[in-house]
Amino acid sequence: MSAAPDPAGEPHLSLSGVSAHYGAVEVLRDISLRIAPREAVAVLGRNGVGKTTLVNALFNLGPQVSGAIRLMGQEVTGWPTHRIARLGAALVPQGRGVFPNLTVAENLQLASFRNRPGTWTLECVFDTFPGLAERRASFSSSLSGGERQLLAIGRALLTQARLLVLDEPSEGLAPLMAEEIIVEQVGRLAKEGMTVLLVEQNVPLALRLCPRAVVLGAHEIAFDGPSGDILANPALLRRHLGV
Amino acid sequence: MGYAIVQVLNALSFSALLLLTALGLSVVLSLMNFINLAHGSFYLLGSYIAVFWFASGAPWWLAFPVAFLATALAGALLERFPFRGFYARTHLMQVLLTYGLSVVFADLMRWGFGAQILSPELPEPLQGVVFLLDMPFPVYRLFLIGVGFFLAGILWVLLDRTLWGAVVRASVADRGMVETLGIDTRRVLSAVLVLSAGLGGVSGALGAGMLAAYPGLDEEVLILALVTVVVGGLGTFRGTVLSALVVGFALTFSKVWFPEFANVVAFSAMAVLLLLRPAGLVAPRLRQV
Repeated sequence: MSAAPDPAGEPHLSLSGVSAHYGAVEVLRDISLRIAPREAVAVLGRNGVGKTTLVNALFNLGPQVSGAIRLMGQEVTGWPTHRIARLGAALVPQGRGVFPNLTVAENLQLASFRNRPGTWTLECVFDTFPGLAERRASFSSSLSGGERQLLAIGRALLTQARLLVLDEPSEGLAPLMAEEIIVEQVGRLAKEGMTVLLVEQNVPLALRLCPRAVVLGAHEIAFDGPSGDILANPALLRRHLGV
Repeated sequence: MGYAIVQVLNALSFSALLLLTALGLSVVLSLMNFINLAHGSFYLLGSYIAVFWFASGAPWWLAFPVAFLATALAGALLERFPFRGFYARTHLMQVLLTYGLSVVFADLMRWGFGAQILSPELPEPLQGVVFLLDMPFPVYRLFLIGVGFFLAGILWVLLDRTLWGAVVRASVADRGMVETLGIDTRRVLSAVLVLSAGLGGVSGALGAGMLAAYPGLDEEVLILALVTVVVGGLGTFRGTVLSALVVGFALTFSKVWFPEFANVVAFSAMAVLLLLRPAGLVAPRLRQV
């Protein structure tokens, strides 16, 4: 697989003038963003600026959305979630979203229930995350936080997605585990050509994975550019990231 | 001794019937959080179908799949309108809707099938009695016990051991997450309701040989099924099985020992049971459907 981002190609995801509301509360205002194939982009910002709302708007999981969201070249605004997912976007949600009353294997098989077979198979996922293979018959409620995170990522891969959206994957993980999962495992997927949208509180971690970062501040985009420029911008760091 | 065995088998056949009816109610309540008080109507429709099918001269055993398919079809139509619009609403609104519908259906069935008690002409292989230690026992009830527990077993395998069952269980846990895997959960929930309606119909078809079919039976069966679901503990398959046995035996043996006060005794026993275990016999835990 080719690993270089392709900024000239049709973006995998593009938002133009997207606003999101929960009832009368406006959470996001006029967001515009393009993510090219094979790019890895971090979305940063303080608590409550709407990072998770951005994810939920993308998958049509709750907020009322205006503006246009295009995924893989198709306008998907207002589509039911399962049709958005079938276009090739997968979500590793905040809190992992594994199904506690299902076994590890069942959690993974669910992802291939409605998706055509592709590069990723159950055995591929077990090869990639050997820890999961040992626990395949266990209920996912018995997994550790790190194992749950790998399970959520493995499940996302089995949907044969081309765009992987991760919402706060480091939350609740020990620093070394977060490092291993996000920088090593997700980093490897990104190198193999997966487009990654990473929503994170842990700024240094996110910037090590993603060459480009978007900073949300007060419901709007405050910065969008190379990760290196953020670290060189103490005012931005202090104001929007609290670092 | 023979008398005791016959009463135990009577209780078991009643339990099998309660189990099938209650499971239909229970899957919809626990998996979709939808209270369907029209479930008794599916049961009674199934009973009438069996009565008329047995009388028609067509192969008798087809009565059960036909009852399943006919009530499943009725369930599919009702699911589109109006049930679907009520899944997200409060239980009170669901109760008002489905109870109202059950009254309408009761009138329609009285109009269509008449007000008299219809007992089916049982097919030849299921007629007659077998002698157990010199006590006669109807063959039909043995058939009911066998088929009832067999169908309950199939349902358990479907929900607990298949990938489709995993999709259903996952949809209960986190519907939005299932959608992000590309699965249309609305269709999954429709299928669960259709399955539940079909179960109600096949229960009715099986029960017709024991309880006959008459106006008002829909409500009697619904109440017993509700009691079974509540005593068992909401949303547990094992609990519903256990509770169908408890309710079946309680009702049967209170009729044997206290014929005049049968219902008082049986329902008081269940009230005490619920006071002692408010969450039901088997409180919902992980991995139970």
